[in-house]
Amino acid sequence: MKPQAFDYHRVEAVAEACQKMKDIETRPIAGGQSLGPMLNLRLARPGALLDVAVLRELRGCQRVQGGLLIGASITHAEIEDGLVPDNTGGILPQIARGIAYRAIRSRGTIGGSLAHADPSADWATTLIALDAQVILQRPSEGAPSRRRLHLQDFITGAMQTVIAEDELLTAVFVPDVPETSRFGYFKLCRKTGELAHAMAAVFGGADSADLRVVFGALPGAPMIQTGANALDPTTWQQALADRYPDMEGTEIGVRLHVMKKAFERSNTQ
Amino acid sequence: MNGKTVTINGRAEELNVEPRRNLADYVREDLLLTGTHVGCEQGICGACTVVRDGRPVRSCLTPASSCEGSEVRTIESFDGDALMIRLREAFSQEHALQCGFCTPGMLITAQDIVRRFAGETISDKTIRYELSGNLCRCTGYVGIVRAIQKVLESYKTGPKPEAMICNTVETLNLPALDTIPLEQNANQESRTAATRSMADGNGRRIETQFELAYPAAAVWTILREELPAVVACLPGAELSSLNDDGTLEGFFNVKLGPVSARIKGEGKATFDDSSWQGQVSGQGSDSRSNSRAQGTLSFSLAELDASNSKMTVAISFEMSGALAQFSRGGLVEEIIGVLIEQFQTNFSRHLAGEAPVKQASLGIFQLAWMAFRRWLRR
Repeated sequence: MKPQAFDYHRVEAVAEACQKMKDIETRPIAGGQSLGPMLNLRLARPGALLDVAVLRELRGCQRVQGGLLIGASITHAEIEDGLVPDNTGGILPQIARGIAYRAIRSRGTIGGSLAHADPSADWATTLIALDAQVILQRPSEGAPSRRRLHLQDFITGAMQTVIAEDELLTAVFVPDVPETSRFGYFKLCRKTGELAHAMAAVFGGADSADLRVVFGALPGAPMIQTGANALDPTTWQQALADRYPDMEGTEIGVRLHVMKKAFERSNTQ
Repeated sequence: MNGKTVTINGRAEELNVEPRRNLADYVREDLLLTGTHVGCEQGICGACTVVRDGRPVRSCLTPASSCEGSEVRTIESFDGDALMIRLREAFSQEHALQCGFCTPGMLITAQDIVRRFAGETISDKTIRYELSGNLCRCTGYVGIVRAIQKVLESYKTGPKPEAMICNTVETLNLPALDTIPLEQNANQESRTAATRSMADGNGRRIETQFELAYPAAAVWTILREELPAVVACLPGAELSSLNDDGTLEGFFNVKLGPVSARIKGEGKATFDDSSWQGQVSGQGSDSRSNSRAQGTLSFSLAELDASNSKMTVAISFEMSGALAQFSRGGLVEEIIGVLIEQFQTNFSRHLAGEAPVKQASLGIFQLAWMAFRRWLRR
């Protein structure tokens, strides 16, 4: 299908973009790899699209103390191809390479993916495991007003975040990953590149108390368990059953198995 | 002419198009470059893949107007490309095409694979992984994989194919991280275990039970007498008229991220005073998304003791139309559960004489949209 008619805006600066978004009919578009199909199927009918993929302020990265800042409009392919410095010992490029298809990765962006907050998206689950943060910006008198949140606080549900109407996600902070840590990620897709039906990421240091285990592709926001019990199937089974009383035992079993696979990968990688 | 241009196959072309015109239609219909094929128009099949700024992209998902200043290459521009000449020969020799519909997209993806992996030995499995975004309905994958292997093999010796020029990654210039305030956990989602979803005819019914610190008879009077306020407790619902015979008209506003709909509907409210049971059922349609919906909100009261009561609220939905396709299992039931709990909170506040919880309108609409999706799916 063809999308319903919309206006298209391109601006030079984040501040200008935030101003434009005060119009409730205006939606930001970055890579457009999630919004594009929704437009074509006429599920999304915004009055105007605001192209943030071209904003130079979002098209870079920066080494900072304790980690790396990745601009929101950096694409999955740029991370996959190593155009962004890697402070994670290969974890970021590995995740990027697993997202959808190459032609989608060419355009899809890390910031767009997080702001869209699809429960089955790869970045949400894996970057929560790495304890990443997002930086949000909105206009205010004089200097722009910024805030940051841990990713697990930013995503509040399926396609729901704490972002305000006139606020843009401008950058993602990924903490340095020490050499001694380990990471494993596994997702279950019926077809390669398709949105996952279950996923889990395991991240931890040499000490078992440092473990962070995240389940994604759930009906709601990713779930996290930390500490020595983070890998315990009984703890997870209980957590899933409490959170999703209607989830069938088989499905819980599948998700526990996916966690096992992720853990196995964390041993070998 | 508005002065916007895009470079297509090395030529500057005017971008005098409607913003919604996608790149595939622009090259095919405005520039008559019909080598680019259009299949699914939702980014799945890969037939429309072209090269934009050195990388393969879906032209069906790319608004042409967003390509201002970009360099786009369609299959036509690869006539004399040394790598593509090898690929064409290999496709021909290995019988890597039958009907030819997927071939332009396959070739664009194939040249990207060869450019990136030239000189390396990669497995058929890796090639299949790289090709997973291009569908061939004649199922000629074996031949396609063989053809790509053959071309990769031919680059084991001699000069590598020319690399494509891609956009560069710049340096960010943000203030020091610790000067940006870090907000802690804002509002985590929560669900109570009392919410259940169950099979109901062809679909599902989401039901929750909660206790109220008011006598059942008093609660019933409020349900009876203050229906508009009760309806307002359901996020996204809007009552525009209510007649003495119980017939009503209203809207249900739904929004999820970029998706929104406003269902105009009519219905009827019925009450059974003897058993403290009632329901509001209605049906309606959203002309924009061409979707129809019908649903029922039912409620019942039971006395616990002289000053406490238990309320059961259930929502069941049935929907059809464009929105029905857009759903994945569990997601919708999850959100309608949240919606119904929002109703519970708001109704309890209403009984206590307080206003419904003020939420960012987006949040409310998001919840309501999920409910709407659930409604669609039934």
